[in-house]
Amino acid sequence: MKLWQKIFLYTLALMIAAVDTTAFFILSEVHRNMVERERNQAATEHQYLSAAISNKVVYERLKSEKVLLGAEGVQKILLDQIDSKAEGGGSAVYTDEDILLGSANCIPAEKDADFREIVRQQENCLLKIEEYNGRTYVLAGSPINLEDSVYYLYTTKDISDVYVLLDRQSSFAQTMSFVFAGIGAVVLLAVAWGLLRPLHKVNFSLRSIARGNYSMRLPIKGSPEIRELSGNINRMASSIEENVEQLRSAAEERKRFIDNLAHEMKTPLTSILGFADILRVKRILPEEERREYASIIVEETKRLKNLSGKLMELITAGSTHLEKTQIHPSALFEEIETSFRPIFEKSGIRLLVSAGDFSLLADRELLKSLLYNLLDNAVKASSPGQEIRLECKKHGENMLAFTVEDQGMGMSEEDIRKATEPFYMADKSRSRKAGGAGLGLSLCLEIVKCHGGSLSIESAPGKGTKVTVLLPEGGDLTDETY
Amino acid sequence: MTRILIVEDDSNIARMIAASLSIVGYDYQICSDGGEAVETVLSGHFDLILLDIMLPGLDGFQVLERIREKDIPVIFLTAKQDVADKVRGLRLGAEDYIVKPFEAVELLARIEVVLRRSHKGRNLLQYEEITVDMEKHLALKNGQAVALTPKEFDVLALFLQNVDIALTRERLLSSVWGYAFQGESRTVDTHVQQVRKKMGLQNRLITIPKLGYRLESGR
Repeated sequence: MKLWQKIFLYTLALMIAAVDTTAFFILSEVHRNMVERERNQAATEHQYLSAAISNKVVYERLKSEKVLLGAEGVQKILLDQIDSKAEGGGSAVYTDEDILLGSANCIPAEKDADFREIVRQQENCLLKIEEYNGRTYVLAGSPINLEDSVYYLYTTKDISDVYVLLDRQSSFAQTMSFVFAGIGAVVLLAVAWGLLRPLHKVNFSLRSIARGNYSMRLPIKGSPEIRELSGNINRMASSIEENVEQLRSAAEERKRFIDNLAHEMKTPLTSILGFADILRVKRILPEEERREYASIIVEETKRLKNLSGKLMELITAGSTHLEKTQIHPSALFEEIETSFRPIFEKSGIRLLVSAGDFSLLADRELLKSLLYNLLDNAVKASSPGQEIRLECKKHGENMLAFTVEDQGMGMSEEDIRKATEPFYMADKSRSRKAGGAGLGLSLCLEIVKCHGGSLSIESAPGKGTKVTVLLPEGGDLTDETY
Repeated sequence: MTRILIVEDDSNIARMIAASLSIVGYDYQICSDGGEAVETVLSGHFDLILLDIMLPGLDGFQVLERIREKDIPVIFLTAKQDVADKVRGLRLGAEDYIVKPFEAVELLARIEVVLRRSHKGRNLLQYEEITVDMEKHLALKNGQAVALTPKEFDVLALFLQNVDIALTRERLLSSVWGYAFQGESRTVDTHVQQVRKKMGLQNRLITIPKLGYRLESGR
């Protein structure tokens, strides 16, 4: 069942119950009062009749100047009196032995022997409501002492009108309650529909979001609840959109990586397989050709080896636990200078190193790998006679800036943007000749990221390149996260 | 002489293809850039183009679109083993699609097929006293026709196309029987023996242990 149907039915039921209960209580209270009044009236009338009979007897005795009226006289008065009462109700007289002396229109009293018995024992005026023949009566009974004899007087009063009135009123109340319930139902329906309409709209939009339209947003309007709901749905939609976008770009990045990897692997493999096949199947092979082909095979195999090595570094840099130790850049630079000296001497490039007295916490091997890669790039971009500067300076409050600056060929803006993408090479043929795989800067970026630092490149074609790596300074040993 | 344009940006691969082509005596020219390739094709005369897809400048597809009017058969060379790429290449009018890495002999075989299909291949193959007419499907020894089964003819033709090149059993199988053929190398041996006997090539069509067979010239 839908919510609006529930709201409607529950409210309708509650409304009918409330109206009916109220009507019932009011009607029964009114009815009870009316019955009470009728009873009192009946009692009064009974007593009045009883008193009238007593007076009549005394009057007749005085009139006849006797000491006592005989039973005959008394009974005559009694019968006269009950006959005179006959219009408003009925009355009956019984002797002490419960023998009916006379009755006028007083059948309930004649029928109800039990009541008469109770009256005889109580010696008091008693009232009872009695149904007879589809009508309702107040039955009153009391003993009456006349001239040394006890008689019993009974009167009835027809109060059926009160009950008829009750019936009529309750059926009227019922009709009214149904009429109002009907009107209420219509009003309720309109109200429930109106209240739930924003919910329908929200639901409609939500369905659209669920179908994949994550950029959809709900308008924030309506009652506070609806506004809150819409706001929450919007927040949910935007976080889903964000996640989906992240997943999509991650998947794209991965696909690009794999495509590039396949290309980078297949290129040397093609040369290797092709030349190996020629060496294998060609019958007449001059010595110089054989040497050339074999050299290319060796060269390309080294390229593959380099590629797989860099790939392994890249994978481990992203996943290994960092072994951070206290490192002094000046000592590290000395070490690097020593190991790079042959390369610089061979290529005729000068390396200038300067480092202040700082220290930082970093993984020694990764930091070395980072600087090696940056220097390697700088050497590849430089020509003989040029200089490369390796420096370490303080940057801001608590960062160290490592810079590698060359005077080489430089890069275009697009090259800078793509430089850290895996397998990107600004000058493919040149990098390939130098044995590059296009992974150096990706690796650097990965290392910098896992040390909580940043990497930036400044360059212009022909103006050289400056790579700056910012790493946190000092001895905070707890800082082992990204 | 058949002229082939090699469009490939990796110099070692270009060198390898050139070396393969020179084995069978094709003339070639090398181009390492897409734009340059288009100019070279439009201004020169080529019988076939070997076109790499990932190129600096224009990529292989763009190059193909620009040289379509010349109606020169094109074989794509690519590292991508992507069906969508293959379909795209073939739909653009490429004759074949070779996935890197490939063997030199496979490249030569595919070139031969494409050249024959575009009627630029060699129709008369000559080897000493043997002549093979590809069009008439005739094998002549000293001017006398020799009766060969169709497969034997194909085997003989393949050897004549690749004089002094060792052909592996796998190569013979895939060239003569097709890639899908799941035959044994015994089938190849039987056919080669038959060809050798029927054409009198006992000392010239030699068996190379662990490799295959080679038809050797008298050099």
